[in-house]
Amino acid sequence: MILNNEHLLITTNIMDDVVVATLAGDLTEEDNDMIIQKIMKTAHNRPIDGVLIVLSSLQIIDVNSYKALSNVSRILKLLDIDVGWVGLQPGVTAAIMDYYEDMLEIDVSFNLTLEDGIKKIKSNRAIL
Amino acid sequence: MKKIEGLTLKEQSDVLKLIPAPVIVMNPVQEITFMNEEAEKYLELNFEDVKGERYETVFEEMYQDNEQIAVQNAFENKKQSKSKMTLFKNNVMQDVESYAKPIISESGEFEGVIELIFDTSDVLSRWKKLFDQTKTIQKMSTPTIKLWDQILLLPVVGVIDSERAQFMMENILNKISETFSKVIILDIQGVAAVDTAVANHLIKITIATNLMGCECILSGISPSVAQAIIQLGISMANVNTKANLSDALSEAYRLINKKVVDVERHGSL
Repeated sequence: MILNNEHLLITTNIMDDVVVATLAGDLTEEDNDMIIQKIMKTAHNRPIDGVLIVLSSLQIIDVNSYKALSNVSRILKLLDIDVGWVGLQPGVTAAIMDYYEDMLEIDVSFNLTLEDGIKKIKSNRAIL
Repeated sequence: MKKIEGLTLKEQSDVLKLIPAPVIVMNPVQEITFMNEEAEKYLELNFEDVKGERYETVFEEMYQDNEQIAVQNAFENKKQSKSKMTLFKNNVMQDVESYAKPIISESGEFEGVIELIFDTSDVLSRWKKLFDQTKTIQKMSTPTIKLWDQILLLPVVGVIDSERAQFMMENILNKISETFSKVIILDIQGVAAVDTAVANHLIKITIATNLMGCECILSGISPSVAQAIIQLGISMANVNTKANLSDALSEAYRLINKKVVDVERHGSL
Protein backbone atom coordinates (compact mmCIF):
# COMPACT_ATOMS: atom_id res chain seq x y z
CA MET A 1 0.00 0.00 0.00
CA ILE A 2 1.34 3.42 -0.88
CA LEU A 3 0.64 6.15 1.64
CA ASN A 4 0.79 9.73 0.45
CA ASN A 5 2.17 12.59 2.54
CA GLU A 6 -1.29 13.65 3.58
CA HIS A 7 -1.85 10.42 5.43
CA LEU A 8 1.59 10.39 6.95
CA LEU A 9 1.44 13.97 8.21
CA ILE A 10 -2.00 14.26 9.70
CA THR A 11 -4.75 11.95 10.87
CA THR A 12 -8.18 13.26 11.78
CA ASN A 13 -10.95 11.87 13.95
CA ILE A 14 -14.12 13.25 15.45
CA MET A 15 -14.69 13.08 19.21
CA ASP A 16 -17.78 14.71 20.73
CA ASP A 17 -18.27 16.89 17.67
CA VAL A 18 -14.70 18.09 17.90
CA VAL A 19 -12.23 17.36 15.12
CA VAL A 20 -9.02 15.94 16.51
CA ALA A 21 -6.17 16.45 14.07
CA THR A 22 -3.01 14.61 15.08
CA LEU A 23 0.21 15.81 13.51
CA ALA A 24 3.04 13.39 12.97
CA GLY A 25 5.77 15.57 11.53
CA ASP A 26 7.06 19.00 10.61
CA LEU A 27 4.84 21.28 8.57
CA THR A 28 5.59 23.65 5.73
CA GLU A 29 3.57 26.58 4.36
CA GLU A 30 2.46 24.32 1.50
CA ASP A 31 0.81 21.94 3.95
CA ASN A 32 -1.72 24.61 5.05
CA ASP A 33 -4.26 23.96 2.31
CA MET A 34 -3.93 20.22 2.73
CA ILE A 35 -4.59 20.39 6.48
CA ILE A 36 -7.54 22.78 6.11
CA GLN A 37 -9.02 20.57 3.38
CA LYS A 38 -8.50 17.47 5.46
CA ILE A 39 -10.21 19.03 8.50
CA MET A 40 -13.03 20.36 6.37
CA LYS A 41 -13.44 16.99 4.69
CA THR A 42 -13.73 15.38 8.12
CA ALA A 43 -16.28 17.93 9.25
CA HIS A 44 -18.12 17.89 5.93
CA ASN A 45 -21.14 15.85 6.89
CA ARG A 46 -21.73 17.20 10.36
CA PRO A 47 -21.39 20.50 12.22
CA ILE A 48 -18.35 20.70 14.47
CA ASP A 49 -17.74 22.61 17.68
CA GLY A 50 -14.03 23.05 17.22
CA VAL A 51 -10.71 21.64 16.17
CA LEU A 52 -7.98 20.28 18.40
CA ILE A 53 -4.52 20.01 16.90
CA VAL A 54 -2.51 17.35 18.71
CA LEU A 55 1.21 18.10 18.76
CA SER A 56 2.33 15.49 21.27
CA SER A 57 4.43 13.61 18.74
CA LEU A 58 6.52 16.68 17.93
CA GLN A 59 9.59 16.96 20.12
CA ILE A 60 10.74 20.22 18.57
CA ILE A 61 9.26 22.76 16.16
CA ASP A 62 10.91 25.18 13.74
CA VAL A 63 9.73 28.65 12.68
CA ASN A 64 8.22 27.42 9.42
CA SER A 65 6.18 24.72 11.14
CA TYR A 66 5.00 27.22 13.74
CA LYS A 67 3.98 29.70 11.03
CA ALA A 68 2.09 26.99 9.19
CA LEU A 69 0.31 25.95 12.38
CA SER A 70 -0.59 29.50 13.36
CA ASN A 71 -1.90 30.16 9.84
CA VAL A 72 -4.06 27.03 9.99
CA SER A 73 -5.41 28.22 13.34
CA ARG A 74 -6.10 31.73 11.99
CA ILE A 75 -7.97 30.29 8.98
CA LEU A 76 -10.08 28.07 11.22
CA LYS A 77 -10.82 31.03 13.52
CA LEU A 78 -11.98 33.03 10.48
CA LEU A 79 -14.35 30.17 9.75
CA ASP A 80 -15.66 30.62 13.33
CA ILE A 81 -14.21 27.35 14.52
CA ASP A 82 -12.65 27.18 17.98
CA VAL A 83 -9.07 25.95 17.89
CA GLY A 84 -7.01 24.34 20.62
CA TRP A 85 -3.50 22.94 20.66
CA VAL A 86 -2.95 19.82 22.70
CA GLY A 87 0.06 18.08 24.21
CA LEU A 88 2.89 20.51 23.63
CA GLN A 89 6.19 18.92 24.62
CA PRO A 90 8.77 20.90 26.64
CA GLY A 91 10.97 21.33 23.55
CA VAL A 92 8.11 22.71 21.47
CA THR A 93 7.03 25.00 24.32
CA ALA A 94 10.50 26.45 24.70
CA ALA A 95 10.75 26.96 20.93
CA ILE A 96 7.49 28.88 20.54
CA MET A 97 7.74 31.00 23.72
CA ASP A 98 8.76 34.05 21.70
CA TYR A 99 5.53 33.95 19.70
CA TYR A 100 3.26 34.04 22.74
CA GLU A 101 1.86 37.51 21.90
CA ASP A 102 1.06 36.29 18.40
CA MET A 103 -0.70 33.25 19.84
CA LEU A 104 -2.77 35.38 22.20
CA GLU A 105 -3.89 37.32 19.13
CA ILE A 106 -5.04 34.13 17.39
CA ASP A 107 -6.89 33.15 20.58
CA VAL A 108 -5.88 29.52 20.60
CA SER A 109 -6.37 27.48 23.76
CA PHE A 110 -3.54 25.34 25.09
CA ASN A 111 -4.39 22.02 26.66
CA LEU A 112 -2.57 19.27 28.42
CA THR A 113 -4.89 16.48 27.33
CA LEU A 114 -7.58 15.88 24.73
CA GLU A 115 -10.24 15.78 27.47
CA ASP A 116 -9.19 19.25 28.65
CA GLY A 117 -9.33 20.56 25.10
CA ILE A 118 -12.77 19.11 24.43
CA LYS A 119 -14.03 20.48 27.76
CA LYS A 120 -12.73 23.97 26.92
CA ILE A 121 -14.29 23.97 23.46
CA LYS A 122 -17.60 22.75 24.87
CA SER A 123 -17.63 25.41 27.57
CA ASN A 124 -16.86 28.10 25.00
CA ARG A 125 -19.78 26.89 22.88
CA ALA A 126 -22.05 26.86 25.93
CA ILE A 127 -21.21 30.50 26.66
CA LEU A 128 -22.04 31.42 23.07
CA MET B 1 70.34 25.51 22.92
CA LYS B 2 69.70 29.16 22.13
CA LYS B 3 71.39 31.29 24.75
CA ILE B 4 69.23 33.53 26.92
CA GLU B 5 70.86 36.91 27.44
CA GLY B 6 72.45 37.22 30.88
CA LEU B 7 72.41 33.47 31.53
CA THR B 8 75.10 30.93 30.81
CA LEU B 9 74.09 27.59 29.29
CA LYS B 10 74.73 25.96 32.67
CA GLU B 11 72.44 28.47 34.35
CA GLN B 12 69.77 27.78 31.75
CA SER B 13 70.12 24.08 32.43
CA ASP B 14 69.77 24.80 36.16
CA VAL B 15 66.60 26.78 35.49
CA LEU B 16 65.16 23.79 33.63
CA LYS B 17 66.02 21.61 36.61
CA LEU B 18 64.13 23.99 38.91
CA ILE B 19 60.90 23.92 36.90
CA PRO B 20 58.30 22.10 39.03
CA ALA B 21 57.00 20.13 36.03
CA PRO B 22 58.54 17.34 33.93
CA VAL B 23 60.85 18.71 31.23
CA ILE B 24 62.48 16.59 28.53
CA VAL B 25 64.95 17.80 25.90
CA MET B 26 65.71 15.91 22.69
CA ASN B 27 68.31 16.43 19.96
CA PRO B 28 67.42 16.62 16.23
CA VAL B 29 67.44 12.82 15.91
CA GLN B 30 64.89 12.50 18.74
CA GLU B 31 67.40 11.19 21.29
CA ILE B 32 66.80 12.24 24.89
CA THR B 33 69.55 14.59 26.04
CA PHE B 34 68.06 16.06 29.20
CA MET B 35 65.41 15.23 31.77
CA ASN B 36 64.83 17.14 34.99
CA GLU B 37 64.18 15.53 38.36
CA GLU B 38 60.45 16.16 38.14
CA ALA B 39 60.37 14.20 34.86
CA GLU B 40 62.29 11.33 36.41
CA LYS B 41 59.93 11.27 39.38
CA TYR B 42 56.72 11.69 37.40
CA LEU B 43 57.55 9.26 34.61
CA GLU B 44 59.34 6.88 36.98
CA LEU B 45 62.38 6.78 34.73
CA ASN B 46 66.06 7.15 35.44
CA PHE B 47 67.69 9.73 33.16
CA GLU B 48 70.90 7.73 32.93
CA ASP B 49 68.90 4.72 31.63
CA VAL B 50 67.13 6.62 28.89
CA LYS B 51 69.89 9.07 27.96
CA GLY B 52 70.57 8.78 24.23
CA GLU B 53 67.47 6.60 23.71
CA ARG B 54 64.96 7.66 21.07
CA TYR B 55 61.88 9.43 22.48
CA GLU B 56 59.57 7.15 20.48
CA THR B 57 61.12 3.99 21.97
CA VAL B 58 60.95 5.23 25.56
CA PHE B 59 57.40 6.57 25.41
CA GLU B 60 55.83 4.13 22.93
CA GLU B 61 53.95 2.24 25.63
CA MET B 62 53.06 5.24 27.76
CA TYR B 63 51.47 7.14 24.88
CA GLN B 64 50.07 4.08 23.05
CA ASP B 65 46.47 5.31 22.57
CA ASN B 66 47.14 8.88 21.53
CA GLU B 67 46.63 10.10 17.99
CA GLN B 68 48.33 13.44 18.51
CA ILE B 69 51.69 13.59 20.21
CA ALA B 70 53.02 17.12 20.65
CA VAL B 71 56.70 16.14 20.41
CA GLN B 72 56.21 14.33 17.09
CA ASN B 73 54.29 17.33 15.71
CA ALA B 74 57.09 19.65 16.81
CA PHE B 75 59.68 17.43 15.10
CA GLU B 76 57.65 17.14 11.91
CA ASN B 77 56.51 20.74 11.55
CA LYS B 78 59.30 22.53 13.42
CA LYS B 79 56.59 24.50 15.17
CA GLN B 80 55.40 24.78 18.74
CA SER B 81 52.79 22.14 19.46
CA LYS B 82 50.39 21.36 22.27
CA SER B 83 48.25 18.29 22.83
CA LYS B 84 46.04 16.74 25.47
CA MET B 85 47.08 13.15 25.93
CA THR B 86 46.50 10.10 28.06
CA LEU B 87 49.55 8.65 29.69
CA PHE B 88 49.65 5.02 30.83
CA LYS B 89 51.76 4.58 33.90
CA ASN B 90 51.67 1.35 35.94
CA ASN B 91 48.35 0.48 34.27
CA VAL B 92 46.87 3.77 35.46
CA MET B 93 45.60 6.33 32.97
CA GLN B 94 46.55 9.94 33.57
CA ASP B 95 45.47 13.02 31.66
CA VAL B 96 48.37 15.22 30.70
CA GLU B 97 48.94 18.27 28.58
CA SER B 98 52.16 18.24 26.62
CA TYR B 99 53.80 21.38 25.23
CA ALA B 100 56.61 20.84 22.73
CA LYS B 101 58.76 23.61 21.31
CA PRO B 102 61.50 23.25 18.67
CA ILE B 103 64.92 24.58 19.73
CA ILE B 104 66.35 26.80 17.02
CA SER B 105 69.91 28.07 17.31
CA GLU B 106 70.92 31.69 16.74
CA SER B 107 72.08 30.72 13.26
CA GLY B 108 68.59 29.28 12.59
CA GLU B 109 69.52 25.62 12.82
CA PHE B 110 67.11 23.09 14.25
CA GLU B 111 68.69 21.69 17.40
CA GLY B 112 65.95 19.56 18.86
CA VAL B 113 62.74 19.81 20.85
CA ILE B 114 61.98 20.66 24.47
CA GLU B 115 58.86 19.14 26.04
CA LEU B 116 56.99 20.30 29.13
CA ILE B 117 54.38 18.00 30.67
CA PHE B 118 51.52 19.08 32.93
CA ASP B 119 49.45 16.55 34.82
CA THR B 120 45.81 17.62 34.36
CA SER B 121 44.23 14.60 36.07
CA ASP B 122 43.78 16.52 39.31
CA VAL B 123 42.43 19.57 37.55
CA LEU B 124 40.02 17.46 35.51
CA SER B 125 38.82 15.49 38.51
CA ARG B 126 38.35 18.74 40.44
CA TRP B 127 36.41 20.20 37.53
CA LYS B 128 34.29 17.07 37.32
CA LYS B 129 33.60 17.23 41.05
CA LEU B 130 32.71 20.91 40.79
CA PHE B 131 30.46 20.20 37.80
CA ASP B 132 28.69 17.37 39.67
CA GLN B 133 28.27 19.56 42.73
CA THR B 134 26.84 22.38 40.61
CA LYS B 135 24.35 19.91 39.10
CA THR B 136 23.36 18.70 42.56
CA ILE B 137 22.90 22.24 43.85
CA GLN B 138 20.85 23.09 40.75
CA LYS B 139 18.61 20.08 41.35
CA MET B 140 18.29 20.91 45.03
CA SER B 141 17.49 24.53 44.28
CA THR B 142 14.55 23.64 42.05
CA PRO B 143 12.65 20.88 43.82
CA THR B 144 9.44 20.46 41.85
CA ILE B 145 7.19 18.64 44.29
CA LYS B 146 4.00 16.80 43.43
CA LEU B 147 1.74 18.32 46.08
CA TRP B 148 -1.47 16.60 45.07
CA ASP B 149 -2.77 14.77 42.07
CA GLN B 150 -2.43 17.29 39.20
CA ILE B 151 -0.86 19.95 41.46
CA LEU B 152 2.87 20.75 41.47
CA LEU B 153 4.74 23.07 43.81
CA LEU B 154 8.03 24.80 43.21
CA PRO B 155 9.29 26.74 46.23
CA VAL B 156 11.94 29.21 45.08
CA VAL B 157 14.55 30.38 47.57
CA GLY B 158 17.44 32.71 46.90
CA VAL B 159 18.39 34.59 43.81
CA ILE B 160 16.97 33.89 40.37
CA ASP B 161 19.43 34.51 37.56
CA SER B 162 19.04 33.64 33.89
CA GLU B 163 20.73 30.25 34.24
CA ARG B 164 18.63 29.24 37.24
CA ALA B 165 15.45 30.50 35.57
CA GLN B 166 16.27 28.42 32.48
CA PHE B 167 16.90 25.35 34.63
CA MET B 168 13.68 25.98 36.57
CA MET B 169 11.73 26.23 33.35
CA GLU B 170 13.18 23.02 31.92
CA ASN B 171 12.51 21.23 35.17
CA ILE B 172 8.93 22.47 35.43
CA LEU B 173 8.06 21.67 31.81
CA ASN B 174 9.46 18.15 32.06
CA LYS B 175 7.63 17.55 35.32
CA ILE B 176 4.34 18.77 33.81
CA SER B 177 4.72 16.46 30.85
CA GLU B 178 5.63 13.55 33.17
CA THR B 179 2.83 14.03 35.71
CA PHE B 180 0.13 15.60 33.51
CA SER B 181 -0.34 18.23 36.19
CA LYS B 182 -2.88 20.96 35.58
CA VAL B 183 -1.69 23.48 38.14
CA ILE B 184 1.75 24.56 39.28
CA ILE B 185 2.31 26.84 42.25
CA LEU B 186 5.46 28.93 42.08
CA ASP B 187 6.12 30.07 45.62
CA ILE B 188 8.54 33.02 45.70
CA GLN B 189 8.33 33.70 49.45
CA GLY B 190 12.05 33.01 49.69
CA VAL B 191 13.05 35.36 46.89
CA ALA B 192 14.41 38.43 48.64
CA ALA B 193 14.29 40.89 45.76
CA VAL B 194 12.55 41.03 42.43
CA ASP B 195 13.96 43.20 39.69
CA THR B 196 12.96 43.49 36.02
CA ALA B 197 15.05 40.49 35.00
CA VAL B 198 13.64 38.23 37.72
CA ALA B 199 10.07 39.36 36.97
CA ASN B 200 10.62 38.65 33.28
CA HIS B 201 11.95 35.18 34.09
CA LEU B 202 8.86 34.49 36.20
CA ILE B 203 6.54 35.75 33.46
CA LYS B 204 8.34 33.53 30.94
CA ILE B 205 7.90 30.49 33.18
CA THR B 206 4.20 31.32 33.52
CA ILE B 207 3.80 31.60 29.75
CA ALA B 208 5.62 28.33 29.15
CA THR B 209 3.46 26.44 31.63
CA ASN B 210 0.32 27.96 30.11
CA LEU B 211 1.43 26.75 26.68
CA MET B 212 1.54 23.23 28.03
CA GLY B 213 -2.03 23.60 29.28
CA CYS B 214 -1.02 23.98 32.92
CA GLU B 215 -2.13 26.94 35.02
CA CYS B 216 0.66 28.70 36.93
CA ILE B 217 -0.07 30.40 40.24
CA LEU B 218 2.52 32.77 41.66
CA SER B 219 2.36 32.82 45.44
CA GLY B 220 4.26 34.36 48.34
CA ILE B 221 4.52 37.83 46.91
CA SER B 222 5.50 40.05 49.82
CA PRO B 223 4.33 43.69 50.01
CA SER B 224 7.84 44.94 49.22
CA VAL B 225 8.09 42.67 46.16
CA ALA B 226 4.64 43.76 44.98
CA GLN B 227 5.69 47.40 45.40
CA ALA B 228 8.90 46.79 43.48
CA ILE B 229 7.02 45.13 40.60
CA ILE B 230 4.62 48.07 40.31
CA GLN B 231 7.40 50.65 40.58
CA LEU B 232 9.31 48.88 37.82
CA GLY B 233 6.20 49.07 35.64
CA ILE B 234 6.06 45.34 35.00
CA SER B 235 2.68 44.07 33.90
CA MET B 236 1.66 40.91 35.72
CA ALA B 237 -1.89 41.10 34.36
CA ASN B 238 -1.71 37.68 32.75
CA VAL B 239 -0.20 36.04 35.83
CA ASN B 240 -2.40 34.43 38.46
CA THR B 241 -0.97 35.80 41.74
CA LYS B 242 -1.83 34.91 45.32
CA ALA B 243 -0.56 36.39 48.60
CA ASN B 244 0.42 33.13 50.27
CA LEU B 245 0.76 29.42 49.67
CA SER B 246 -2.53 28.59 51.37
CA ASP B 247 -4.49 30.90 49.04
CA ALA B 248 -2.61 29.44 46.09
CA LEU B 249 -3.48 25.91 47.18
CA SER B 250 -7.18 26.82 47.53
CA GLU B 251 -7.07 28.29 44.02
CA ALA B 252 -5.32 25.17 42.74
CA TYR B 253 -8.02 22.94 44.22
CA ARG B 254 -10.68 25.15 42.65
CA LEU B 255 -9.00 24.81 39.27
CA ILE B 256 -9.06 21.03 39.44
CA ASN B 257 -12.62 21.01 40.79
CA LYS B 258 -11.73 19.86 44.29
CA LYS B 259 -12.24 21.46 47.67
CA VAL B 260 -11.06 20.95 51.23
CA VAL B 261 -13.91 20.11 53.59
CA ASP B 262 -13.96 20.58 57.36
CA VAL B 263 -14.76 17.03 58.55
CA GLU B 264 -16.05 18.12 61.96
CA ARG B 265 -18.53 20.55 60.46
CA HIS B 266 -19.63 18.34 57.57
CA GLY B 267 -19.55 15.01 59.37
CA SER B 268 -17.08 12.22 58.67
CA LEU B 269 -16.57 11.34 55.01
